[in-house]
Amino acid sequence: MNLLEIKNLHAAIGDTKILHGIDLTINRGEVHAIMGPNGSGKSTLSYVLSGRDGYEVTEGEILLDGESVLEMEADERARAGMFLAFQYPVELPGVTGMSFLRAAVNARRREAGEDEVDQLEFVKLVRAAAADLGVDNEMLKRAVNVGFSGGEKKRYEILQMALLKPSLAVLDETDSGLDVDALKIVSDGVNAQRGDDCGMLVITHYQRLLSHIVPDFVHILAGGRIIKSGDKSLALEVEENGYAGLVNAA
Amino acid sequence: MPHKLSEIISWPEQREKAKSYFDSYGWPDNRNEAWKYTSLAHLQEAEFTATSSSVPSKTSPADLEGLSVQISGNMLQLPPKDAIPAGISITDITTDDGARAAAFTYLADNHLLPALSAMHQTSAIAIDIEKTDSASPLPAVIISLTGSSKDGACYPFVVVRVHKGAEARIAELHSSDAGLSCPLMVYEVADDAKLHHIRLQTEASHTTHLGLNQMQMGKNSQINSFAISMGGALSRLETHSLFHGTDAELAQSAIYLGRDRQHHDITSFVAHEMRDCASRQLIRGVLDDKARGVFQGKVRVAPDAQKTDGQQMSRALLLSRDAEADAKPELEIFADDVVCSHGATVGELDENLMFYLKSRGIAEDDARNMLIDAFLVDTLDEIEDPDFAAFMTSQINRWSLARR
Amino acid sequence: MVATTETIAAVEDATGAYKYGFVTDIETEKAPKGLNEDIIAFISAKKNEPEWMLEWRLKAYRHWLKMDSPDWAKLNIPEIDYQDVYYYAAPKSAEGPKSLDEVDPELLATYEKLGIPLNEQKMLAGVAVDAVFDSVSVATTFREELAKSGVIFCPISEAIREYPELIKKYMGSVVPVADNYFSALNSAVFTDGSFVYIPKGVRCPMELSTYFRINEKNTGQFERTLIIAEDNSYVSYLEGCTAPQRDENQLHAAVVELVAMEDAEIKYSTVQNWYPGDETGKGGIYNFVTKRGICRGDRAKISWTQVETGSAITWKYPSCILKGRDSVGEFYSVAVTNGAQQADTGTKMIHLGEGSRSTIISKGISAGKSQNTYRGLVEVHKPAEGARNFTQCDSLLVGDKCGAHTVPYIVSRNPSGKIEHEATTSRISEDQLFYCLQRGMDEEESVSLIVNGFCKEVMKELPMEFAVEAQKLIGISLEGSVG
Repeated sequence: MNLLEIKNLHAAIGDTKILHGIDLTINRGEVHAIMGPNGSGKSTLSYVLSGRDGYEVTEGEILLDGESVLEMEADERARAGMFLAFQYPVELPGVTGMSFLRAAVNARRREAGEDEVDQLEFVKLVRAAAADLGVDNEMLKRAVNVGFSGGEKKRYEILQMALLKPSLAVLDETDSGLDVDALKIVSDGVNAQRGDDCGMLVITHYQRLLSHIVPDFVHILAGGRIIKSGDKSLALEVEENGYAGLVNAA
Repeated sequence: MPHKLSEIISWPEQREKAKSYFDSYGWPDNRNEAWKYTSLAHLQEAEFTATSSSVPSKTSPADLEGLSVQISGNMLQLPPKDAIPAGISITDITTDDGARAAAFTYLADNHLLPALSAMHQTSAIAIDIEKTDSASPLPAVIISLTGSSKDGACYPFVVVRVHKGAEARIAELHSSDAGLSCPLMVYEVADDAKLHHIRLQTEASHTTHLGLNQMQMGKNSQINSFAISMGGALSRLETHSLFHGTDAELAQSAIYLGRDRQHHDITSFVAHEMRDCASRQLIRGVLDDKARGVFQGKVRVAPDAQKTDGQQMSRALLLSRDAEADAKPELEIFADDVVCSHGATVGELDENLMFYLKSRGIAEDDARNMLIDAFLVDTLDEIEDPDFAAFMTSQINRWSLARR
Repeated sequence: MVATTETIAAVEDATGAYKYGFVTDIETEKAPKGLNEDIIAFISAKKNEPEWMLEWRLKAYRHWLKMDSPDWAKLNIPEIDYQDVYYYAAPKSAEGPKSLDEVDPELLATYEKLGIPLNEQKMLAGVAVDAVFDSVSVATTFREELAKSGVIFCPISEAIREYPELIKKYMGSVVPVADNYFSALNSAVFTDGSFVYIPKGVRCPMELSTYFRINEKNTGQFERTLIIAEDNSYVSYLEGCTAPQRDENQLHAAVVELVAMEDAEIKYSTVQNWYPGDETGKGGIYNFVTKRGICRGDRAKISWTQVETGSAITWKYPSCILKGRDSVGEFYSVAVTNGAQQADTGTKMIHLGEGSRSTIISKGISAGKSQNTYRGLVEVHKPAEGARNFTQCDSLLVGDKCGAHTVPYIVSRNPSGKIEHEATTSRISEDQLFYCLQRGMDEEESVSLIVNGFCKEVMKELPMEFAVEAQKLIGISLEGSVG
């Protein structure tokens, strides 16, 4: 069965139509990249998938493991295995990292009918995962995202992904605000989670992320539609010639 | 402070209601929560003669240009008709009961200041500002309120109506010699209109000044207002600002400057009745000698007044061991999607800053004065109109120099 | 550590929304309904009080008759018929149990059910408990252990008999009899409460705790607590409160007095969970409490921490009189209102001593149709050279039918004093909520998590044993406020 199937998806924010019929299928183990110019609907797609209020699906269907998610709330979708790495992670003053991470992990475990994670075990688990991503203990003690630099916030997103082990990970402009070194750490973190259990949708404006997280498929999004699909060479084509040519040709 | 929304009642009825209110409640003292820090008990025994006054002086302050309106007790001096440009009209409504009653529609019931005005007012004018096609802006209207004597009382009433889409500039200059001065000013700012407003209170050192400024704001209207209270023995300025339409913006700042045994009270009430409005208030006070300063500021956000942005900051600076500052900011919030905050500080000059200035060779007194001026001048950026800003700056400088 | 999963479990556990709404079926002795000098004499006689105590009570009563109920709070208090209340109710079996073995098993079971086992073996290590049931103290644990270090921890009725000099000297010294309407009423009819005395130089070896339970119908609880910390001593004290679910309103009017001498520190924590009434506002406790401490000596410190989730109406301002040089006052508060609850709570910091410092951190959360007001006074008097106050009041609104209000009063009579007050009002941001939802938590859990984060600064002031309980309570109190 396909992991994610998007069929003829139309979506709007209020009266403004943003997505005009998107078709996309992702299987487990595949990494798909969505590239597109500013305003093409990339972030809207990530919010529509994850079920953010205010983003209305006017037509079409989204199936996760064959089940429609349109009637599901954002948290239900998350527990069903969808993970969104935010472009701009928000700050949660007073909510410490450990308690937040544990609450999120336990929510998934309860859904799966598993026991809640043992507290000591969990601390070990988090520390190990955090170390791989260069997230130090000091950061884990602080309130979620409060006072974090741009790079720290992104690493923190990937840490959450590592702990939650989603079946579908949507990475929204994960490279924005990262310098070369941070980009490598984050990419390595993401690559470590590639595998047969997980499908990924990498949303980005630039090709540079895709030389670190090498996609199996690349789709160009413009004007709320996928105007071209191909393999990773398509990303290089964009890098060379920009979006204008592709958009005009479509 | 409930503001009635009933239909207009006739002027004699209004007067009757005021009288029965005053008969029941009299002059408030500290036991009254609204007058907790400012007692008017001293007025219980005071007797003031009915307003009598000298002929008003004919000149407006040299450093402020505009159309001059003089009110001295029951005497009025309006600019000659031919000097008033199209778009502005100034009318004596002292005997126009209908106009007076209409202007009272949104004034608070059960409140001393409107009651005093309704009972005693002897002169009343209406100023109307209309939108004009002319490219050049209308002149400022400068209302000087003077006159009376130590044993006299004056109760001037002014209603300013800024009509739809118009932009008005109004200055109030209070400098009477009255024993009791109770000016009531009502500003009705219609949809899409804008009011630039300054108010300067430099009453005589024996005066009890009880002023009420009511601001009513229509949809998408704007008010930029700044007040300085520096005169009088005991002075209270109440501002009541009511949002009647959405998307309106109020910027309302005030400074009080106290010396000797002066008592200054700034009491403000901002009523966010409609959604998507913003209010921003900065209040600063400097208190020397045995002066006492009071700031009470209530911001109320009604149910359904969503997306309200209400900000308020009050700061008082104590320069003397015998000065006192009291503050009671207040948030009363019944809608959830709002961003409201207030802050209040009381203290003396920052020692670290003093030290920094002194370490650069500046004498203690000079350093103090620099920091006091900085504390006050900081707020003057709030005044949008450049002429008004220059005028208010000069007033602060004058006070500052006199203090040294 | 967040109690999210525990919270959900606790909510599921609870049969109704209020977990402590059960009634203990026990034989009770009551004074006749109503209030007059005979009833006061009856209470005094029941407690075997000396004559001077009765005189003190009667004086208070005569004052009270001349006073009016305060009306300045932002509360809508229905008329209270003070003649329709029982002022004394005691389990029959409770007359003077000497040891835990003698306590009625029914009572022990009640406290067990409330999560307060009185059996010393089962107890939380290091916490001594005084259990007050309606009008009497039914058990005080670990007394002997405490006595070894010279600490007195006993019911106040006993202290009046055993330590009359201390009582005469300190009772009414911080909250004068005629301080306010409710303190005068309490002074006339108080029945029990705790007395704590920490001698010079003693650091109390365990947490002291009093657990107040109102059980009887139509009964008021008027407890009186007095804590004296001599020079260079330390005590941490915690009180908890619950009551059965009843349709009628019940009155609770307590007085708490704290006295801290030179270099002494008193930490007083409250987790208040009286029955709040149902969501239409029927029933619930009227909680009218006067709490005040005085830092008499130099460098004395009094710290109030409160988590207020219960009661239909709360009128409460735990205060500090900072008389000693460099004395310190603190007030940390979380007040959660939901349903039709009303709370008007805050503090007073009265700076008299040179270099005295105070900190106020208040977090108000309003949900449902409730009204939640912070009201606080900071006063810097002439002798308080260099006094400092910092106040931070934050309000959070959950839903659009509730109200959140902030009313600080600031009075400064000394230029070297520095007072800073900040307040904000907002709601849970949609971004924060969505972020949590996206991570798989449901809405209720997300709200509970964010609210607990919002309260963090206050919660960390609670003793460990109670912090977890308090976190759960906040989650439970907000149940039904979202969606």
